[in-house]
Amino acid sequence: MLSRRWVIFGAVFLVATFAISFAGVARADSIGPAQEQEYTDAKNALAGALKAQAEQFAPTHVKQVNDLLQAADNARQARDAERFGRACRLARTYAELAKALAELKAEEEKLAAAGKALQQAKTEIEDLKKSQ
Amino acid sequence: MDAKKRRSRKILSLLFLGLIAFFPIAVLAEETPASSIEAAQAAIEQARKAGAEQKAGDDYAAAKSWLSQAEKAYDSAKSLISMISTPGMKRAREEEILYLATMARLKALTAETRAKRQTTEAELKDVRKDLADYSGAIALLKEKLAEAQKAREVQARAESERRQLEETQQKAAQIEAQKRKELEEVQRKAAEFEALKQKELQEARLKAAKLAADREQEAAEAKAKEAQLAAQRAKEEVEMKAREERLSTEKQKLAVMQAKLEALEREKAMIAAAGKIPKAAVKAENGKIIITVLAINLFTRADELGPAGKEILEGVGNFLKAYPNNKALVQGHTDSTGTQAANQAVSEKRAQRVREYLAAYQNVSLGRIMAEGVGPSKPVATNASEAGRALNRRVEIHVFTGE
Repeated sequence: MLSRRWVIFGAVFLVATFAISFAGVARADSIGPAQEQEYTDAKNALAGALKAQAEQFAPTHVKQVNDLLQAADNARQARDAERFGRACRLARTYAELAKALAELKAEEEKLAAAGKALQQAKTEIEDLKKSQ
Repeated sequence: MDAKKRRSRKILSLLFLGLIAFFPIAVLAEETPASSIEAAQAAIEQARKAGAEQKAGDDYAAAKSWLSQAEKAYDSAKSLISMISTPGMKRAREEEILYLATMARLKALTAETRAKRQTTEAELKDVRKDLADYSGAIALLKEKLAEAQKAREVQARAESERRQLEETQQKAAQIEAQKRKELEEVQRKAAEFEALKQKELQEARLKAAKLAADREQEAAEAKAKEAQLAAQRAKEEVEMKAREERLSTEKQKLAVMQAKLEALEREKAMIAAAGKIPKAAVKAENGKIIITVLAINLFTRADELGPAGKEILEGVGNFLKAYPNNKALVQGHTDSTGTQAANQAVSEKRAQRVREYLAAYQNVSLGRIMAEGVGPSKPVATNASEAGRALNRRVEIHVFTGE
């Protein structure tokens, strides 16, 4: 009997723990317009990054953004507003980082090209000085 | 069997939902909250080193804020209450910490990237400026090189021209020397020629002087001869002049004599012509021919012109017409019987009748003929006798021989 009581107690404890944990993790709040706006912002940020050729210069981050947007979509299906919001914010931040990286890479490429041209100019000047 | 399948499906569905619900955690599950916070801190430090604090202040501040939240969440997770919380709550807390730390790291990375971009932009600007400077320098150098090349070409051309000039100068010097030699030769010949010429000139001068002296002598002689001739000519001229004057005088005398002769001839001819007038006496006197007709032959007792008188006057008229350029004066004369006045009137009347008849019937111009009566003042015979008085009663027609 005692063992049966402990089994029931254990089962109740597990169910309660699971219920509390589940309640803490998957809060099924409704997704409001503010969260949807965050989703839109993330999408726009991704578009901006793609426009800055982030797929070429920061492909990992672009993939990360897409994964996070997928996660946001899943959270929307699961009606988990908090996860949806986090996924959207992370996606937006990643997209911004991807854009910044793409812009940096582009600038670096320009800098490299300019440096190369500068080097060529220096070489040309040296050659010209020698030929004088 | 169906119940088992349904249970299995339920379990699978629950597992699938759980997987979906816990996906972000699964994604971030590789990190622990502590390591993610450390990574965020490192990223922020890295961003700071990259100058994000100044160049990407907003992102840097946001990163720090997110880190602060993450650290706060991490600290609260280590509290006593958290220690006794359920695994689900723990997982949720960890998940939140991971999210906050990730956001901090991402923001830090973004800040670092933007700072680096600004640095890169600045570097690019500098490099471009340097490049522009170098390009300018290259252009300048190229220009200088081109100029130098041109200068070299010019120098080469100048060198070539200088060489050509030297060659030309050498040739010119040779030609000059040749010319000088030729000139000296010419000058020498010219000097010889000049000496010869001077000699000839001297001789010529001597000859000319001699010739001049001869000429002077000849001229003096000629002059003397000329003077002699002139004197002779003057003398001859004077003589000639005197001779001419004499000749002229003689000619004048001759002309006068000839005129006189002609006048005499004329007078003679006129006398001869007048002699043909019937019952008229003709005589020449002092340059005129006087035709005298007695009154008895011209007039009737009533002092009218009778047929005999008209015949006489016809002869007179013919005579005057034969000498149309000679003027005439009809002069009436009476005897001394009666009064002076009556005689004067008679004489004038008779002279006038003759004049008028000549004009009217003999076509002699009145302008040629004048008429006057002189009465008894110029008798030609005595008035004491009848014969004498008959002679005094007369009409004289004076025809001037000079035209």
